[in-house]
Amino acid sequence: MRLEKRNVLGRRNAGIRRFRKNLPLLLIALPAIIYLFVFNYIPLYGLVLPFKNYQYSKGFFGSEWVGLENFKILLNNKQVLIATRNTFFYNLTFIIVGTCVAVVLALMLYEMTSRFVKVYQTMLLLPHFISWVIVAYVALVFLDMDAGLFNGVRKLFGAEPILWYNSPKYWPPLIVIFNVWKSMGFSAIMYYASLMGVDQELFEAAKIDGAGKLKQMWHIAIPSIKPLIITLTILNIGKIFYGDFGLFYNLPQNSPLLYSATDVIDTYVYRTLTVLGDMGISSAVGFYQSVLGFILVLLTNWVVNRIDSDNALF
Amino acid sequence: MFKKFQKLLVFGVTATMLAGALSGCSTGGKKGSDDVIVWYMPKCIDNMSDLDLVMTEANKKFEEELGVTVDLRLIDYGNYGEKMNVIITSGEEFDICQSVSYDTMVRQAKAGAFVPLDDLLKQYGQDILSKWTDLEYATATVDGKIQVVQGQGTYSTAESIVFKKDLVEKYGFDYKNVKTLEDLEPYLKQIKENEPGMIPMMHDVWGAVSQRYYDESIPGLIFDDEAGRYIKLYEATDWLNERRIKNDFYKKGYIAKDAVTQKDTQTEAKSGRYAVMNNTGYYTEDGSKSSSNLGFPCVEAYRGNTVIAAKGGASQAISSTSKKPEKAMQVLNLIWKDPELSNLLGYGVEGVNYVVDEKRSAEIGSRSVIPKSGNEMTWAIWHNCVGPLWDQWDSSWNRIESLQYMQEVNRTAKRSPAMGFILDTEPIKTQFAKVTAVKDEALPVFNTGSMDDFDAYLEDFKRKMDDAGLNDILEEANKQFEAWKK
Repeated sequence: MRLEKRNVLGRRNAGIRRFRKNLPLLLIALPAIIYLFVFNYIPLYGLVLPFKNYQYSKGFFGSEWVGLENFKILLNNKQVLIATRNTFFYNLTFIIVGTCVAVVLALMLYEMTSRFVKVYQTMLLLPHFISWVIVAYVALVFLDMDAGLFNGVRKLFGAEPILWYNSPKYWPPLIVIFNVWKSMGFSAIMYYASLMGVDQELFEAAKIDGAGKLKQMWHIAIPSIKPLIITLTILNIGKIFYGDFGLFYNLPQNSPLLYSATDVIDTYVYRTLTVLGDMGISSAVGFYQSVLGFILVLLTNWVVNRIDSDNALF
Repeated sequence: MFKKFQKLLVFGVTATMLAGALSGCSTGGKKGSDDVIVWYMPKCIDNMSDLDLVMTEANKKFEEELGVTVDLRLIDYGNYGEKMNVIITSGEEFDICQSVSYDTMVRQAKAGAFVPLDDLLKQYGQDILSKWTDLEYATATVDGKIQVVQGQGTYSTAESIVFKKDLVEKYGFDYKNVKTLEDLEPYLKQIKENEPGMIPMMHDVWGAVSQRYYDESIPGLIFDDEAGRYIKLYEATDWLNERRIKNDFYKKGYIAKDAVTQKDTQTEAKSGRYAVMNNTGYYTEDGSKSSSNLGFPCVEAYRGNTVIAAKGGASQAISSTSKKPEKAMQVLNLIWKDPELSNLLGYGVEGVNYVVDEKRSAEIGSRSVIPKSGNEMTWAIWHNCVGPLWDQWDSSWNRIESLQYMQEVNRTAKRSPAMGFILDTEPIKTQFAKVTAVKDEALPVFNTGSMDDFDAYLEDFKRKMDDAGLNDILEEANKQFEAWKK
């Protein structure tokens, strides 16, 4: 009896102690927790909107239920299909290419010993902070069909100008290149930071055992950042049906001739539904997007669980 | 010591972020109190720095007559539609707003964003009603209810084509006799061959459809005047022919290669790189309207007057979130009643924003003013936005003759048989959304002619339109139109 009580007390004390110990960490996380709660949890009640015929005057709760009426837009709609396909495959490519590039960059940074490491880091990170609007105009300097750099050079050699903004075929690679260029710095730094935490002795031991640089990377560096790679990939897969609006709207200059290659769900929603102003239909498409994303996260996590349960998220 | 500082730092950062997060939630604040009328409007000109000055003057009148003040909130013209949409959708409390466009107004009115004004106008708006004609009634009415206070204005614009004057003179082109798009070709060819820096034609020339058709407000359809019913846009022969010619022009290099991505045609035209441009307002015989709008000498060719469809023009709506719609209506009524007040809101304050032109005032027998222009211009609300345009004092903005001419045109121009008809989109909501998406994708391409293969693109467009449910819309539109006619 007594023993049990002490045990409970002890456990509670341990809980308090742990809380005390982690308080600074919790405080640091607090803004993010509040942000998540305010912007991601409180608005969850909005999920009833896709099932309603929203009327300003009747308000949120007063508007009538229409069931799945608003979801009819998704049926037999080629444009939504194209947009979904584009969103999925672009993001998939971003995840694969982006991760590879970032890991390679992190390894290169790790191998670098000169004092210029900081400079390289900054240079890599810089694009991350430039708005897509500006990037889009930088791209225009290169690609402008009359006065752009590329076509200028082509003209110099007597070649016909390439009509970048009129032909969809150029855009899949262009979009991937620009997105990877813009995002690689940020993820490379994350992998680099995680590499810094790897015990140096491992590398030294490998070196003594005669492992070359490539062997060291393959057998020590990559396995040690594997958990981070997996976590980031799962998180990114969760967003695979969310197109980066800034990228897909600005970079192709919103050219209607390119929609077949550049339209993603977000730009479709923006284009069609801001004009239409129908809250029900817009939120139905948003709902569709998040359900697809949710299913994919569960799926990926399940797959990771089967292969390597230590690294799964839950 | 250092530890302590570290702790402080963590605390400080956390606290500021927290405060930031919390205050972020309450920026919607500053709600109108009981005696303040909150009024949203787009900025007519970029620099409206005399807002406080003008509104202090105007509020003296509002305060004295009605016991309220007006809090005029100006939003950049380019962002107005989007911002207003957010304000209305989020249910923010305000009293009056200028409608973004006719179609937006109808949509928002149908969704219940505005107070129906029939009773309010009868009770408090007699001075408005007495200045309205059937045109204002027709434009302001949605589903049988008056939804907005429609400003006076022209309902039929004189369309024109604008030519850069020096080039027309250099090549001796007979611009006055341009009647069709084809007539332009020889001139465009000359420009293309002899003026390397110039782009022969701005893509929005002949943007509006031919005189025979009008009312493009239903996506994918067009009202055929002769047949007296709606037809599919891609079956309208004039429309198709003009797009085909544009495509031909595009391939010959008469239209800029990047036309389809150009967003701001006005700025583009002002660059002076174009030989032929679309009208910048309405036709003036001496080209003065386009010359002053574009900033270089221009001449214009008259294309014809548009048919009156009573769809458009600035209007003011009273929000359904307003706690005092009666007061809001009284404010609007006072503006329509008192020309001093409407001109104060339009031109600004005497001595600061304009001076009175005594000589011309004596000549025409009513007040004439000289507003500041260019960089000195720090206030302007166009009078049709204020409301009573015909009460405007004579100035370079609008001469008294042109005001009279506009009213004359309103009386005499041809009217659409579909004037006042509004499609109820509820039964065809999803088809409407899908067709709109197809239209928004394809029209910029058709209007600039920038497709590789016109016929292939057209076939694809037809197929996409039909897949999206164009037939349902056509059927519904004609059914509702027939029912409405009776």
